[in-house]
Amino acid sequence: MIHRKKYPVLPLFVLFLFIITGIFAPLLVLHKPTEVALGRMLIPPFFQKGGNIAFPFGTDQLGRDILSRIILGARASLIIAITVICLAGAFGTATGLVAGYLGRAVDTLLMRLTDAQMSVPLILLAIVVIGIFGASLSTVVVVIAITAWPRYARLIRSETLVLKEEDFVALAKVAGAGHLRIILKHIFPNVLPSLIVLVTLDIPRVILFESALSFLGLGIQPPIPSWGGMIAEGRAYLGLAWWLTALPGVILVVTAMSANLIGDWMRDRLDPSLQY
Amino acid sequence: MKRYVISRVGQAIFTVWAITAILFFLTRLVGDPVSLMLPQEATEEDRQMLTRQLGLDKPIYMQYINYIRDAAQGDFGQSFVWKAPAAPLIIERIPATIELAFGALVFAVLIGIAAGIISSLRPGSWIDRTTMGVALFGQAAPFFWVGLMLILLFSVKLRLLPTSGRGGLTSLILPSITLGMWSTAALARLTRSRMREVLSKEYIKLARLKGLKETSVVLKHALRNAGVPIITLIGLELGSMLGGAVVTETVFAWPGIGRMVVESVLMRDYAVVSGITLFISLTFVGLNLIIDLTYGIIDPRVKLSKRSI
Repeated sequence: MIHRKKYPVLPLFVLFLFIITGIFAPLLVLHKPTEVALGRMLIPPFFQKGGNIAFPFGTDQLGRDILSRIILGARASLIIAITVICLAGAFGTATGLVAGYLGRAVDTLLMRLTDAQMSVPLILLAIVVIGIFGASLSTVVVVIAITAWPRYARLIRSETLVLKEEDFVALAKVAGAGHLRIILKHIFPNVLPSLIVLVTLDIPRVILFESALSFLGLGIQPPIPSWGGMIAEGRAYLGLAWWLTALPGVILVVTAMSANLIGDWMRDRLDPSLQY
Repeated sequence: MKRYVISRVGQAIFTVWAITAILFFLTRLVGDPVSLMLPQEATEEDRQMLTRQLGLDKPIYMQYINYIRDAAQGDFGQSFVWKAPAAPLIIERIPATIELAFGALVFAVLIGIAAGIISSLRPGSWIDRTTMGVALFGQAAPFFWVGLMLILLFSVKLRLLPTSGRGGLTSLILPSITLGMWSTAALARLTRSRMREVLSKEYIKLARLKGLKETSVVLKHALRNAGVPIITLIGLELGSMLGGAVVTETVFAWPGIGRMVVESVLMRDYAVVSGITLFISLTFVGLNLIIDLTYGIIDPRVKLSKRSI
């Protein structure tokens, strides 16, 4: 694709940075990100006139350090992304395996369910549900997971359908293996590559989705910093202080692009004919 | 074929029913709409009168039937925020969203497909790599943020375009680009890959050997054959734009139903929320149904579970 080297070094580094930042965020921040200091409002980033290296990305309208907030925002995005993907991935894979393996009625039911769910624009679904149940961290995670699981289910299901016709499954049956054993020991390991690719490609999608919700005020709630929330807060100061909105977005783009590139690379490596 | 049509339509009807049922029960879960609507000093009598008036004293299945019946007649209840029936309020704002979606679609189709074609003609060139790089960016960037950056550049710094609101053609430009961004990237990538496939076919070589003009070869012969998945994607993207409009309208203060649904959700105006959700969902389902049926006509071998987004 774009890179000729064996590994996409830069995207991997960026993603690694994102994960490390997310995990160690509270230790990495320069200033307490919720610390309001009205004496230093709207300081520009250090490379602009009036900037201050103590606040490398500038400060916002309440004097909070932007870089520190971005770091904590990474943590929020990371936690949500991991949780959502674990939930959606686990549930989707389980249902996909079962539906693909058992077939017929169970399969049709799953297909109807996912079709019905995918017939509604995801953001709308999320907005309505969050609007009704309130925007707490757990609600957001559950809602995004609900929007995410159909992809996993459908992919794993279609892979399972193909795999269950393979010889090694027939041999396992002849050897007396029960259904559960066949699914876990024989089929699941073979869907793993596709699953990994889907997970890698889903991470940026989840992060972007969560940032859109936070932007609307229906995602991560203040005062917890989130990239989407920061973008929304910076809107009012767009002309005065472009860095409030621009910088969190740049970080978001870089992270999402890196994850996308890694996903594409993995897909090319593991299975070029993969359709998802 | 007929089986496919019936099954597909049945599926659509089932989906619509499921949506109404879920919406209905979700909105009933929230707590007492009567308390929301009454001022503090309301007496027990007032409360009971309003309950009867809203039909909330009836058993739940009766409420559901009334809800469906009203919705079918275009009555979504009363918006307690606007103190007016919800349906006319919603209908008033639909044209704005349609205008935005249309603008985004035009942008995505023109720019996306053109970029895809050009890229496919010069694979590996700087044009190709730049275009695909931009497409990658377009699919990775939060489109609402890009919209804000566009506002920053073109409205605030350069003063070329209006910052927000709906007006003439100039105010449609930035919102359309923002909303259409993701679709443009997706279309560009798909067009490029489809064109690459088709351009290597024998009949293209033949067309060139015959001495046909390159434009004709590319547009008439190659593109037409590459076309079906591209058209399918266009239809699907139009649907997802309905979702994207929600955020885009918020960014640009566009007076459409997308922004209205967000505001109504935040203000707990459930009559409006369920009305708009129903409308958008119906449109989405209808659109997908049309796409699937058309696809079924064009390719009779297609199975039911073909879509995967």
